[in-house]
Amino acid sequence: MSRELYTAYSGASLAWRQLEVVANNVANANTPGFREARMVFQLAPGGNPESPLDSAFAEIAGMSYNTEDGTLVQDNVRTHLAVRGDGFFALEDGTYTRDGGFLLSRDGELVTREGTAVLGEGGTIRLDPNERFTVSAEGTVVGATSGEVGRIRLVRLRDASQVGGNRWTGTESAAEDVTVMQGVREGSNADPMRAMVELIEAQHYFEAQQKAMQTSDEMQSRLNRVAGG
Amino acid sequence: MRALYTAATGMSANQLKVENIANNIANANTTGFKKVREGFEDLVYQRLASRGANGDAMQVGGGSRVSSLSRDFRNGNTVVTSSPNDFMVDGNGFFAVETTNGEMLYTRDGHFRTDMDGNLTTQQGYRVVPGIQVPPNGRLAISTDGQISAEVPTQNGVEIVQLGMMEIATFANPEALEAAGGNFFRATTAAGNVVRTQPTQDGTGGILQYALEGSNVDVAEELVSMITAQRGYELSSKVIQAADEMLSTAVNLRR
Repeated sequence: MSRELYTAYSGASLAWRQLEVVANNVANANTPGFREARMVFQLAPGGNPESPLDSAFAEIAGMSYNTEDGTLVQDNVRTHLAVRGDGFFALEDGTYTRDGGFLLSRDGELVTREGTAVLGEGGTIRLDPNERFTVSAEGTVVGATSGEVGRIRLVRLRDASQVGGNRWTGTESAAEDVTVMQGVREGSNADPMRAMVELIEAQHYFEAQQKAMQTSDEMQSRLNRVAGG
Repeated sequence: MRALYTAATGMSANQLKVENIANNIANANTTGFKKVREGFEDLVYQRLASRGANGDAMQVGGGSRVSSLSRDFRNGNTVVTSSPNDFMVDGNGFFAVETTNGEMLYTRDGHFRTDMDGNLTTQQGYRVVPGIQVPPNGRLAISTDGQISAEVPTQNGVEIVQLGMMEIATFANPEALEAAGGNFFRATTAAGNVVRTQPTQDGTGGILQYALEGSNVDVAEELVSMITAQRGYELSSKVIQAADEMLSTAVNLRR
């Protein structure tokens, strides 16, 4: 069986994967705190070092996320927070988010729209539901009547992966140069222009693989004809 | 095939966004209207069986959806009027009214009138709570902290009659109130217990007379969100187109 047919197939299937990733980036162009994903492809190390092209095929090298800040929109809602820099808010259920569209629960706890509490350095952040409060760049929450009630926990994530609902999981590490802004929401960092370029790239790459498959097919059939006399 | 469905979720979420913007813009001149903002979130991610060559977990997302439609309760502009029956809550809180079948509703629309018995009611005839009865020919006057009186003309000038105290209803979590149509809101468990207090007390707003609260819709902001929604829709449709063309290439592989 011809190798090159499978080499081309591996390339075509990766082009389709890229399309799936682009589709998700584009669908989330308006999702707050969304980070654009990208798949990185590479030539898989072949089995035969003497002739590496013998068993060459493409594989996914890894996945990377764009860690730039998304568009910041100031709406002056005091419970809306945005992370600046490569950091995340920590939530009580063990997940993390960059979507800072929080609100105060009935008993004054800072929560996400789904009702999961936002973690401070020493537990959840609790205020009087009606009081005004400020959040400093370092994340210190000061209520007009309650005084300082805590500091918002900001972490950096290693091996981060998305779990849906604007939440992430990963391994915590210390956040550096990460600050918080109050009255601001972070939009998505998906770049439509790049998405379109990747789309074109995926499509052309896919077509090129298809041409390679056809050529391989033609060569094989010609060979069969010659061999068959 | 997933890319097609993923892109379709992007299109339908953006369509819902446009529908919501249409409602906000249609209410740009509705007294006491509070704009609604849509919250987007990403859908579940599917882990791919293999890890990346460098050990990364590989996952592909399933698109996005509108996860919440929440009201923005910030004050609208003050619109000055010439009717003594026009009130506005300047700050936090709602007017409480009782419908003809006894249900309590809450509103920011203080465009009131008096019925044939002199009761202060909404335009729909729902009585303002606590009941306020204006004497015949009386002209209402209300102080910022809710003292209601009426100037009643008599033979020897004007008599001031005290009518009671206005109340303002507040909720710990007003975003969870349910819209009941006609500018009214209904209490829900999530919104918390209703607290009725005197205006300007405990963080509630004061009352302005001869004023109505305009809609808090900012048309320019709505137009900008409409553009982002429309472009988001278009981008996702391009992905569908590309996926379709690639599938057609794949199908035509075997001639």
